[in-house]
Amino acid sequence: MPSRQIIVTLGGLEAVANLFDDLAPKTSAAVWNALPLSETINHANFSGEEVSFPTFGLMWEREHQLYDNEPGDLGYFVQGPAICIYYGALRVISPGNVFGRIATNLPRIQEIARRSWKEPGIRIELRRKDA
Amino acid sequence: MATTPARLDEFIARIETATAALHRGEAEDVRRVSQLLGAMGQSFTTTVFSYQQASTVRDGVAFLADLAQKYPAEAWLSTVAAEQFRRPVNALRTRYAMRDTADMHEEAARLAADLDGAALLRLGRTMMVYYAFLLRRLRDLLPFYELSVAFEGHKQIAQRVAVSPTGKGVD
Repeated sequence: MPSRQIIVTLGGLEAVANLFDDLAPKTSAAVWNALPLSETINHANFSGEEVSFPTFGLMWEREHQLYDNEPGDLGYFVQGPAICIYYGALRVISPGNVFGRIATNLPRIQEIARRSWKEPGIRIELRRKDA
Repeated sequence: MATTPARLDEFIARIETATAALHRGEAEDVRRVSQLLGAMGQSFTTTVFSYQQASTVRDGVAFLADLAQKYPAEAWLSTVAAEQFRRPVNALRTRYAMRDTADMHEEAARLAADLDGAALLRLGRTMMVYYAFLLRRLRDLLPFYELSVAFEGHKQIAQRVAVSPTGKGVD
């Protein structure tokens, strides 16, 4: 069965992300069930090319936590709780549950995410992509 | 008096309402922090210290939630929880003007003495979510990029002064 997909809208730009229903089934389901979500992003201060936003407590279990992320990976940070986009080079300090990956428009998403270091208030929205 | 489930449910609903206000950017505590003035009329240090204080308190709540998860049946848990919740009340209220957050801690301390491990875990996690949003809203008050540029410039000037034979800089 193909994985479910979500739309990530960052600063007005849409990208499609595949959920890791196989690798992180509980986290994917928790995020899917909570959609739509919207907030403003903050850029990471320590870990590198990462942006995140706070969420309500979607789940509290650790699952599929990685220290080596691919650009575009989506993580759920249990301790936050927060959802993160790992958009580039990282030195992961506290890993998140990696539950999906952006599959389209990544270069432009990276530009906007990088811009958020200098430009606060950039909005993000996650919603389900209908089949 | 033992805490009734209804009383805990009501308190948790109030925290969730306050969290939703933070999510919408409408929390009074954040507004008050943004208007705090320090001893010399400055607001940068009061803002950054408020953020740091909230972060420290949040770590205490996370620690308590971890304890409740690992040792749910221990008799000391509720005593530790009550003290942990009570500890930051005065500083939050009087120094950092986060009166609503202080009230939340005071009520949590009152209830905690009679809560079991599962209830404390639920309460602790609800408060962690509250802090996730509070910390973001406080962080939003701080222009990290501009501050970083200014700080690096300050460091360069300070280093030049430090190596200058006259103490007045090398340029």
